[in-house]
Amino acid sequence: MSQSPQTGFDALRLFVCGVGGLGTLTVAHLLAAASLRAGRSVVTSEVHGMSQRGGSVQTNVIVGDARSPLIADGAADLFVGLEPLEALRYREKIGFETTAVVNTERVVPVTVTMGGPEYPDVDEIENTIGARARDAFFFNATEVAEELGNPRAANVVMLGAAFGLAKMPFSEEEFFAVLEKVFPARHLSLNRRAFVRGKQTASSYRCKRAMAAGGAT
Amino acid sequence: MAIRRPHSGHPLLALSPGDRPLLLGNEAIVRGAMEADVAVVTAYPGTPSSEIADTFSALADEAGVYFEYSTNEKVALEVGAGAAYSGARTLVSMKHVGLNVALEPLMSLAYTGVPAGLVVISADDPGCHSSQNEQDNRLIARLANLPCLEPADADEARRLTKLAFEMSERFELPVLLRTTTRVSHTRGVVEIEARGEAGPARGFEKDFRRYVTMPPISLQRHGVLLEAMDEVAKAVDEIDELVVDTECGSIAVVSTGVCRAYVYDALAELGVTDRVRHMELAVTHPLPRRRLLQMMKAVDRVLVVEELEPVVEEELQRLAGVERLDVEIRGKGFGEFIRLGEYTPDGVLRTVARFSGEEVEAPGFPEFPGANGWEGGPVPGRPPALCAGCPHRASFYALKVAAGDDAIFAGDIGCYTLGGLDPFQMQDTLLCMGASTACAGGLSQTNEGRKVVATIGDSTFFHSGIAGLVNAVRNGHDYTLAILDNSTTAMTGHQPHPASADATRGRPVSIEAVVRSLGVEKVEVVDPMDLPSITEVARDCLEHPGVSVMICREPCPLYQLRIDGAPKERVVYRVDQNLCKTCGFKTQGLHCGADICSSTELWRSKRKIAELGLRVEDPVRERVPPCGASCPVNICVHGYVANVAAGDYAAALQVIRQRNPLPSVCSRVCHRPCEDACYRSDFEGPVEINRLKRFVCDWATENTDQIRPPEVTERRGEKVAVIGSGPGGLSCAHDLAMRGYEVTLFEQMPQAGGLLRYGIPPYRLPDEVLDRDLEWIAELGVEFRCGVTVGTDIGLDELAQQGFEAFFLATGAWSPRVPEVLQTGCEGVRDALSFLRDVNEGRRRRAEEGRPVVVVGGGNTGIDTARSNLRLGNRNVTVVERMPESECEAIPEEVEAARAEGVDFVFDAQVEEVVTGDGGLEGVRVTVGEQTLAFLPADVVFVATGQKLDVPTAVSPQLVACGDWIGTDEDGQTRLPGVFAAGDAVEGPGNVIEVIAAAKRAAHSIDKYLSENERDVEPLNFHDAQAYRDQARYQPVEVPFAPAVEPRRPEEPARTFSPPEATLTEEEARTEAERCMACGACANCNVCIDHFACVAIYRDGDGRVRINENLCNGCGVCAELCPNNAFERVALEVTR
Repeated sequence: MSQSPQTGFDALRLFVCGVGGLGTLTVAHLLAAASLRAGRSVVTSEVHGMSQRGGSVQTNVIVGDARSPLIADGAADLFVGLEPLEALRYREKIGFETTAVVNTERVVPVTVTMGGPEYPDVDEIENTIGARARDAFFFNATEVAEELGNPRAANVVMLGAAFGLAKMPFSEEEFFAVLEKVFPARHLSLNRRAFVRGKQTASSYRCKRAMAAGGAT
Repeated sequence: MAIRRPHSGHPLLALSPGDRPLLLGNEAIVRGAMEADVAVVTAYPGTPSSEIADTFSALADEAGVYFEYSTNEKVALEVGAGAAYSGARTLVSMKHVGLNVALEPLMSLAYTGVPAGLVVISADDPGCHSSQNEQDNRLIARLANLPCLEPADADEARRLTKLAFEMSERFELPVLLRTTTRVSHTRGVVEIEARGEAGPARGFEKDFRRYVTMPPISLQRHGVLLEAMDEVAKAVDEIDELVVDTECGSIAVVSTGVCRAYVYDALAELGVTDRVRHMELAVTHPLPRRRLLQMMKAVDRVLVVEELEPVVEEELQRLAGVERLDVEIRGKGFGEFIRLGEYTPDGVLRTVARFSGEEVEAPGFPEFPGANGWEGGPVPGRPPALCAGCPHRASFYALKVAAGDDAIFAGDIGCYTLGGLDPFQMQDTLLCMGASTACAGGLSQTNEGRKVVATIGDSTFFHSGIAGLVNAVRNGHDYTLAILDNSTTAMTGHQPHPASADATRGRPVSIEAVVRSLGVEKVEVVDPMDLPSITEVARDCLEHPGVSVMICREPCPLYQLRIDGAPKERVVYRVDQNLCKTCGFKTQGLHCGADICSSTELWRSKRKIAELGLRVEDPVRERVPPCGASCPVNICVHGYVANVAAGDYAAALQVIRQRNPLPSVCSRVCHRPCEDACYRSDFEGPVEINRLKRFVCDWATENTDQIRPPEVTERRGEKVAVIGSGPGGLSCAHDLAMRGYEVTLFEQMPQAGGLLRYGIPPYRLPDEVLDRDLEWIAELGVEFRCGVTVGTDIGLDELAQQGFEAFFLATGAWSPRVPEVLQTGCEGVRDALSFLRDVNEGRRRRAEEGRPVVVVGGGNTGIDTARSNLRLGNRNVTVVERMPESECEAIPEEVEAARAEGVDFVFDAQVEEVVTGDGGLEGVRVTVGEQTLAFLPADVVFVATGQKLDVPTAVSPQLVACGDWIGTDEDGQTRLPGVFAAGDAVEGPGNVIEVIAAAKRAAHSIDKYLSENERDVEPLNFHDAQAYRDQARYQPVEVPFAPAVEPRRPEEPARTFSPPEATLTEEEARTEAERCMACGACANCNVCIDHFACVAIYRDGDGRVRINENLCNGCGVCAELCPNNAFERVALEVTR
């Protein structure tokens, strides 16, 4: 729903969800700041009443002409799920035009530990989201970040993957410029590498997908 | 959020005109206030307003603004009034419900007005994201009759804050700036303007007829307010930025707040901006009447889009009515617009589309199957939880242990509200800020005999909890108040409060000094992380009559981290998988089921932290306690004893039945190896385990509706014949039925029970007790065929033809084994077991009164025979036993009881001769000890020296091996394939519980024999005796003295066959059960998850409990409560 052909109304809607502590708000902030740097207008909305206490966190980043701070159901252009169960929870934000990028590393909620409903099967989550999204890329960003030296950089790996797959309102240079402002110098190199690795992961996924599509025809 | 800040200067102050930063709505309000050169800011934090106060707190000194976190909203507004009276531009910030607290000063402040700008921020919370209600404070603006401005986004929040100050000063009235969560917590691009120069405050100028709201003055001031508001009403029509109007089209949408953005986007997306007029209102009281009338005259229909109350809608209808306008006004009730909760962009889009006309359609979204595309079952929620290491969790845990489930918990508002969720469920009421202290008073006055506990945070206590405590002291209420003092206002982001040490001005107020000064006699300050201490304090306080206060003091770890910075050494805890006894070990060792131990676990943990005072460093406990290990069927004794202590008798029975198919029988006749093994037997005597079992079984007879019967999970088709219905046959039938087999039990006697029915006299084991166990076995689907002698009436081969695929022989040993010296053929020498059978069948009734009787053999059969004789009226009964008393096989209590009833014993004695005369038997001559000879006169001599296999009933002579017994291998398999045997017929007379154990083994073997794949066979789960012997012994540091509950002995020796009354009352049973030292680690522990639920503790995919080291902050409370000492402290290297 980025640009309405009838009205010329132009908005790019980026939805990020996760669990308190995974850096969901940082992802939203980076997306917003980079878009702003690229000269676009930005509105964001955070719903994080209890994020610090292990709760579910969702943020909306809307770039362009729109004024609403919230994204309507099915209207996300980019959907970043930092945790698979949270991606499932907010699935209604995903429509046919949505590019979804989801980290498969699970954070098991207390309700499951205490004998509530079981943690859903991640493959089933992938199928459900894949059925409604234009593109759905599931991978373990936490493992990628761990290889780089710190699992906490998984959120920036995810951003890199999103950048590699979806239409973004900013350039890589603009993103790095923002990164420099947001992170202290000692974390900068790690986050740069995380972004690049995420982007590479997405491109290899694109290649595989293209080959698979080619093979099918 | 790691936003780097310039070394000097707050970023909001560093901005220059023309800058376009992305700011939070709340930050934009601060910037607006700075541009208006605000001088004084007061606030009480509360979501979604908190960032306003926090931002001011961070920049106040630099900006030269006086800022304070006030004690509550009323105080904040009153301090603000004083400042504004003195000519200082003042901003007062709070959440919507805070305005209720500040309502009293607000109502009168409207009358006095203010000489300098006073802006009151009310951050409303439609949808109750983090509030106890969703009241619409635009109605408060109407009630107080004060101007109310409402921004739609961040930049407007800045502009309207400035405008609010201008209007406030122009009309000398406080102005309400109302935001909602979606405006306060939304970031947008803000256009920065220069900071203003208001100049210094003029100082207070006395004006008695204005600032003193005495009756005649207040009425006059009301008149002043009404006049001023008339002026405001005119002005709002003239101030351009209060109304944004597209002024086109024949229908109109009027919107307020964040809905303005939703409508803007909706009209653009629908492509109807040129024909649907959009009028955005930034002021909602008073409304711009002239402009609204103009609009209503120009259109046919109006749709009002406003969340919560129909404030604008009703005002438009009123206006249209007064002006007799022909215009249709819609709002609440149209499309998806209701008074409940927030509006959404989707709902607004669809409703505006519907309003716009038939040809306009909102973009549809296809329906997905299942729950919106998901067909994988319920999606687990992720509710907020107390943080890892939160001291409140420890406080709740201790209060739960001390107060129990029956106590009523009056809750309050703060992080600890989360104590209302699982697993604690310890917020039974939650009304508003500070309500707990007073509400607990009302609860305590109306719930006689129940404990009442109020929990309140430190900040909330000062906010409005004190008054309730004053009331409780004065009116003699009886409750315990736990003030959860974490040194900060944690819920809203760690703001200081009156008692916190981090204020830059003034002095901290001592909570305990305040509480003591109110006259509370019982005041304790305690560290909640020290579980044993806090539990003791909690008990002490709960016992105290009247109001008692425990101040649970430990700083919020997140707040501490913020002050101290990251620690050099990080301590976390890990789970020692060898010690942890969670269900992950279910198939090893003992276990009592997955879902029945909740109360037990808590009780066990409570024992550890509270009563035994055992600490983390105490020696490792045994994995299998001695009671369970010494029981031949390994009943989880400590499990059911703990269930009794916890008052869950149904669970206790369930634990017993999991291992023992004949619980009622054993509760009367077991020889109790468990009690011999009990650690307490070395001190004041063992826990009276068997009497507890009897209590549970008797309880079950009275409470059949509460019994949770075992379930046969999988039924299979194979038929098994069990021959003999004594303890062996019954147990094997039970276990086979539980394993899913179709079992038929054959019994030659008219009733089932074998030795239990015909060999044990009714005063020890009444028929109705045996029948209860038989009934439970029959409920599993076991078919009983009594009066059928297999071998005579029907052969095994015939049964095989009928489809039976396996046989279990438990025919017992009924033939007397008579020593040679007694084989005289004399009529007076009789078989004790036949006698007992007669007694049980009621064929002996006081027939042999007065005659001297000698019983040879002092085992249980001998004692039963002697005591039965007494009951038949014989006064002269002597038992002759070969062994000394200490080595005698009978249950010692039975010997004692027999002696008390008048039975004489001759131990260490051999019968040398049976003396007969003309009249038949005269007596026996015995040697006692080495040489003493004695003559015991007797009319009857009963032989109770053992039994042997009754060969003719042993079905097939070819099974008999090694003398007189049926020969089997270790698994109970005989020489014939498919034929198994156990019990007295195999091993000779044994104890009931040992026979049960052998039968259970045989059932397992039969299952293996009939199953294609041995792996499918449910294991026996018998404890490995060697592993038990090898394990580390539990060494209690100190055993608290706890004598056994004194058994009530019958005063008169029994003269009848009726069984003695129950020996334990419920209260006594629980007291007795509490003597258990819980020396074994529970095989099925889940306490850290079920009762503590620290978010750092989780169950992994393999079923094991683990700790997430990223979340663990090393508080160590889990280590204190774990009954198994499975949490170990680990120091991690910190990598930077």
